[in-house]
Amino acid sequence: MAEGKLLLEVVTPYRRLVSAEVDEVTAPGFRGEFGALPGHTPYLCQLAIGVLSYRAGSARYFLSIMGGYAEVGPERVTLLTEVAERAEDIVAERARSARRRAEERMAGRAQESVDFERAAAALRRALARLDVARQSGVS
Amino acid sequence: MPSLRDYRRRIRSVKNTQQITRAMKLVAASKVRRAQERIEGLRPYSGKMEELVNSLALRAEGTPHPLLNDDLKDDKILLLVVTSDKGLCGGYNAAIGRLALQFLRRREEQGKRTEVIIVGRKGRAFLARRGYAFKREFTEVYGKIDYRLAREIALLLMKGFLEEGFDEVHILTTEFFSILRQAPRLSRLLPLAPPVPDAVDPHGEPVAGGVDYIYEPSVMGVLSDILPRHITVQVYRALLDAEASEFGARMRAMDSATSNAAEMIRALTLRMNRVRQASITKEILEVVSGADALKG
Repeated sequence: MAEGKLLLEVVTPYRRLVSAEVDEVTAPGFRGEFGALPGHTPYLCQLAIGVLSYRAGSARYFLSIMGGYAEVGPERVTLLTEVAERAEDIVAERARSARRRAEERMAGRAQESVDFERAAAALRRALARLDVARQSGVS
Repeated sequence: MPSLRDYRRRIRSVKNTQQITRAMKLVAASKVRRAQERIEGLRPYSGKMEELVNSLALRAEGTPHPLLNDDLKDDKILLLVVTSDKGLCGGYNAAIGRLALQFLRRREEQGKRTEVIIVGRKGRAFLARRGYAFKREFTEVYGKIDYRLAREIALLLMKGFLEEGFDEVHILTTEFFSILRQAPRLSRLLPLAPPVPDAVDPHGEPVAGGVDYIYEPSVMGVLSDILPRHITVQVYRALLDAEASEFGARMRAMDSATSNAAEMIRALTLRMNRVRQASITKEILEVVSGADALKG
């Protein structure tokens, strides 16, 4: 492996979605976004719903991920996630209508109810997808 | 004795059957390949997950996580049985059914209570005939087995273990080794087996997982989030294995059916030719003796 690079792997129950040498990874951590560069200290982090981005050379890539775990080491980053989508897998129109539905459902609910939590999670998923679509410039 | 026409009819019928079994074999062969790919696709995920769970569980201190709690009475048992919806796959369902029955009867003799969650119509029919009722049935799920279904079943099992007083949860499925080899496998899902330190360094420190991570939010936090997913992966694996095994079993069953049909056609053709020859010989004899009579 090339010196000063990270081996990034994104693994879902269906397949190994990404396996690439990258320079930098940014992921939505449990307590906020974190970045990893080559030589990072061993770190195991639960992930939130959000956008994973990574850079290889001058190219930047974005993926929406729905939770999971990141295992970070000095030479590699392994992401385990149940759902991960590349920009080209995302239908922006569907994500937009999901966002609308979630907002409507949240509007009429008490903050603490299960329905509210569910709608809020749906909203976060929709926003992550839209973010990826926007940043990759395909929406 | 059957006439020539009877033989012809019979041979045609066997040929038709053979065409069907051959087609079924080909379909099963292509499906088994796809199912195999899905198992392969899960492997990186399940392998990594297992690694994480092991290293986390070894580092966890204090009271064990509820899903690891094996300090229970052990007298109420939940069994998940995975069978197929369709038949024509040799002894596939019978093998699972036999094992399920054996498992349940032995536990009942020991005075334990058992309940069953069944996947597949064949298993449901088999156990229902023997007087078993089901806590939950999943039928017509093949062809749409996905992670989501596995999660639904896994949640059901975990709820049984954590809230409904089941002391053990077992899975009975057919493990897929290769196209030629599948075997029923019974395994305990819950409580999860405690991790074994797979290696110990000279100072007696466990080195499983190798690296000491910084954990976010915390060891217990990650562990309690990851264990349910780990269970889900086990269930998903059991479903994928069963699916691939069903196709493998069907492929072999239909392969032998096809060659049995070929053997039957061969035997029938032989007998048909014999009958035909006999009738020709008879006709010749008649002509010759007729001619002789005229000459006479």
